[in-house]
Amino acid sequence: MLWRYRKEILLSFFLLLASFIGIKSSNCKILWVKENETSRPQKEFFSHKGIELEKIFINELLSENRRLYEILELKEKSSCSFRKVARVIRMESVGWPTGILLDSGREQSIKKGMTVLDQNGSLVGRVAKVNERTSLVMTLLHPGSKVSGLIQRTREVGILSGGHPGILELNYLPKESEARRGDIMLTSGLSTLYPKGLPIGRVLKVREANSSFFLKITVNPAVSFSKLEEVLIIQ
Amino acid sequence: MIRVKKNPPHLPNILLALLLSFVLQWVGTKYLRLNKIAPDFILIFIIFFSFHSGGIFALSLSFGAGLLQNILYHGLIGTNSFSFCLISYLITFLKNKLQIKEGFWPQVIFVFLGSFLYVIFSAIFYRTPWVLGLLIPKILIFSIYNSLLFTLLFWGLKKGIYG
Repeated sequence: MLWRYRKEILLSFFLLLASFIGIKSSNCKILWVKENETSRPQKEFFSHKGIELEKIFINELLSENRRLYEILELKEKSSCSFRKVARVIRMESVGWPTGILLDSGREQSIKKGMTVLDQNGSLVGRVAKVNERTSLVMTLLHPGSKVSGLIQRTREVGILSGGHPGILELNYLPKESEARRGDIMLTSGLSTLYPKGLPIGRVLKVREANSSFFLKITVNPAVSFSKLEEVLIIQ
Repeated sequence: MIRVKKNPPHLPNILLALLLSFVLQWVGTKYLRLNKIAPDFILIFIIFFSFHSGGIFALSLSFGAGLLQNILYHGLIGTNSFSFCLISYLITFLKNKLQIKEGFWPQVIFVFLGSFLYVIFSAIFYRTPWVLGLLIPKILIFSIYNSLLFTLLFWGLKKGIYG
C-alpha cells in the first residue's frame, strides 16, 4: 500500500529536508543581511539570474533599515515611560485609512488609549482596541477622532476632527485668528489623550464662513498613511 | 498496446551529463548572458531527466543537484532542492496523467513551464513575491532562453544518456 505512494513519500521527505536546510541556513543569513545590507548568497543569486531583483531587494532592505533607524532614534529621544515599535499588518488599501492593525497586542503590554506615532514622530492616532497579539489603531482620519490641536506660531488651540478624505478639519478657532496656510499644528496637551507637542500636520486652507463665528481650517496630516509600515507606540 | 522498450539510462552517463551541465552552468553564467539573464543548464537537465525517467531516482537526483547548485553557485541552501524536487515530481505526474508522448515539443514546453515555476519558487523563497509582477518580462525571457538552449542540447542529451 505504502509502496504505491513511494514517490509522494520521498517527495515529501525531500521537501521537508530542503525546507529544514533552508530554514537552518536562512536564519543566520537573514541576520547577516540586516547587519550588512545584503548577503553574499542572495547577491550572487540575483546577479546569477541577471534579474534586477538585487536592486529592488537591497532598496527594500535599506528603506526598512532607514525607517527602523529613524524610529529607534525617535524612541531614544522620547521621554515617555513606555515605548514600543510595532509593524502595520493591515490597513485599508484604498482611500485613507481610518483603522490600522498592528502586530503587537496585550502580550506586548499594549493598552487601549496609547498614542501611536510614525517614524518621524508625527501623530498617527491612538490604540482603540487591544487583542492578544494585535491591536487596532484609530487614525486621525477616523470620523470619531477628535484631537486638541495647537497652532505653533499663534499658540491658538482648536479641535481637529477626522472623517474627511485625507484631511483634518480644525474647528472652534475664532474669526480673529491669525492662522494661515503653512502653519504647523501640534498636539496641545490639554487633554489626557495625547502628550503635548506632537506634530499633527500643516494648515492647508483657511476659510471664513459667513454663518459661523469660527474659521474653517483644513489641515494636511504630517503622516503619510499610505507609506506607514512601522509605528512607535508611546504612553 | 505495444510498448516501445527504451534503453535504461546508465548511471555513469547520467552523472557525466550532470557534471557537464554544472560546467555549462559555470560557462553560461559567465559568457551566455542574454540581456543580463543567464540560462540554467542544471534545471534543463533535471527537467529532461524527469520527463524521460521520472520516479524515485529523478527525485533524488533533483534533490542532490539542487543542493549542489546552491552550494557551488548561489542562493540559500535548500531552495533549489525544493524547487527541483517539486518541478521533477510535477513533470512526471503531468506526463503520466496526460499520457504525453516522449516527443520533442512537449519537452520544450515542459522546460518553459519548469523555468517559469522555478523563478516563482525562488521569488517566494527570497521573500520577494511582490516583485513578480514587475519581473514577468524577465521571467519570460529566462524561460524562453532555457527552452531555446534545450532545443540545442536535446539530441546530445538523448544520445548521451539513453543511447
